[in-house]
Amino acid sequence: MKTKTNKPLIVMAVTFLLIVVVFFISLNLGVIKIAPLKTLQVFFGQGTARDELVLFEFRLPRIILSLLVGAGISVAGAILQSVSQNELAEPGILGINAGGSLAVVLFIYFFQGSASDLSFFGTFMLPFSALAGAILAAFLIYILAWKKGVTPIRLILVGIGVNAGFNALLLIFQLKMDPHDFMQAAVWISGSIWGANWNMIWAILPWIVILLLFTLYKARYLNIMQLGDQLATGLGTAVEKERRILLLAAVTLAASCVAAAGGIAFLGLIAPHVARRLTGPRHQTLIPVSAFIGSFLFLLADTLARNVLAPSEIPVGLVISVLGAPYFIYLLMKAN
Amino acid sequence: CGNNSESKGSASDSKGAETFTYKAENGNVKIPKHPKRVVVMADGYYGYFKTLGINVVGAPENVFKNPYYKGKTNGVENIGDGTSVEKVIDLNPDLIIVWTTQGADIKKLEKIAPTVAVKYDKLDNIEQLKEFAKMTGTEDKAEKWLAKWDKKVAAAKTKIKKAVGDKTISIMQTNGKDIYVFGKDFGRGGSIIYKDLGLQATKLTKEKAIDQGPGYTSISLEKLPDFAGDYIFAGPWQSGGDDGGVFESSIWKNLNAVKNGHVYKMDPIGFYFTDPISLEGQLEFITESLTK
Repeated sequence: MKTKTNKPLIVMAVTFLLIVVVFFISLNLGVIKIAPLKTLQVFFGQGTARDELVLFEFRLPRIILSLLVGAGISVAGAILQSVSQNELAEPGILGINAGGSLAVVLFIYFFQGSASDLSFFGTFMLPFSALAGAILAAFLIYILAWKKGVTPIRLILVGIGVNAGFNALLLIFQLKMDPHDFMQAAVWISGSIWGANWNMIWAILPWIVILLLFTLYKARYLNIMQLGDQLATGLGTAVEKERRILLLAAVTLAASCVAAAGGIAFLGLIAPHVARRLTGPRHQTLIPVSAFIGSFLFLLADTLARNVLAPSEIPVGLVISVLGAPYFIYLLMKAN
Repeated sequence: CGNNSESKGSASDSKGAETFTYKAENGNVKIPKHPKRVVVMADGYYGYFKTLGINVVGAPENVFKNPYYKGKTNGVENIGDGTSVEKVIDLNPDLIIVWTTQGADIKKLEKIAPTVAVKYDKLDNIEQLKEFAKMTGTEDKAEKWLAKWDKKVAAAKTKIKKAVGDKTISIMQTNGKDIYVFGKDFGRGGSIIYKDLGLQATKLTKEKAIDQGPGYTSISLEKLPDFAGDYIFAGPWQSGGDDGGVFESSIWKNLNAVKNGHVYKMDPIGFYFTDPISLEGQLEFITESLTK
């Protein structure tokens, strides 16, 4: 029998391999058929201009963004589940999706009509307003939950309240939009990364890498916090301070993902769960495995979203839910 | 706009043919004077280019559902919902037409071929036709259609005036929750009914959907009797879409128009479009309905 310490390493190796496999499948799959061998040629600068355009400008940015966003959202979820000591926590409870969506809808509602140079304005300002909205919502929830410190349960309850409020506002503005703007907003809200480009990747890459490493560094605090506030304080942790720092890390991670990919629900909930079932609750392994599983699921989902109904597309957020839900339910049943 | 249409030389090859700079919503675009392979990603503009006699090689799904395009989409590829840039590159276009609301996609399309972004409600449909004609050097085709259209409208107008007189007409669609009342500037045959034929809207429709707002207004079921005219063109939001029981409700059934049998079910896809081909189809349907 294998010793227990080897298991996380094996899981990591397997998920990494899966990512590599899906990476190549995704690169080769699409409306334009490019044979695997040709793909290699393009990578060595020997392909046609057209194949280069398809691979480097259309497919690769999407793939890389999928990997980054998948990892970011999943780790944000893992942090939140541990910090709030609640298995149902996910980035959405900090109002990140609702805040980001509301900001995007407000932006489209108020500025779209008057913006003259839209392609520039839209691509750069839309993600930025999403980021601002997401962070504002999280900040609001934290402030409202504050009562000589923030207890996990207050955080979640206030989160649900603020989310409901934001969603109501969202609905009001969506109903007042005209159908064209509404479509644009709807696609964004259900999560889609067809707008992926290299600028977007360079914009979020540093955040995600730095915050992932930072979270890994803080793994021991997460281990302790899972035990509950009292025990953690007893063990000498500055619970409130660490919680604030970790929350901030989770919010920033999730907000950059929301800015890049829109409201991706569910992934932040299931990826950490799957990781925990596979490797146990130690965050030194839970964090990287969550990231790997998140990347894998997101890339798989986006590959399907892009190809199943081609040339039409399914919002990637929906595919994640369809893919993730059955496995998630299976895991929960097995746990009982 | 663009400094176009000099000589009408026969451009032989689509690539490397004469180009000129056209001022579009996404900036100045170098486009071919005589485009040979156009992908129209903005579904509403398909019929405009067809009317101008331009070869369209790709168009979104909706176009293929429009009953008025029957027999007019041969050789045109379905590009789906209009998000797949790969499908577009596959068609090897020399001009791409998109809506500004297609947003981030435009940057990628520009790498495939000259891309003209159009703001969908900036011009009314006649102005838009003239603009596209100017852009593609096909003014003669536009003039010809407009002359034909004016004649058709004039003929229909006398017939309809005789049958309808000063009675009011409404255009309504429902998505199952709200009822949308359309004015003259948001498709659904509005421009024909209120502008070309000069028919009357109800007082509230005029106030809320014509004199203000984007060209339509959404109302709840209770408000229906206040907005409804003597004749109603009605339909669900999409073909086969849910009408939420609006057309079964007692409020609906008690409308004068319904009691008198003056309700006409329009095709929601066919009436979504505002291009010359669809306008002709709509005019025919409207004339037939109102003079029955």
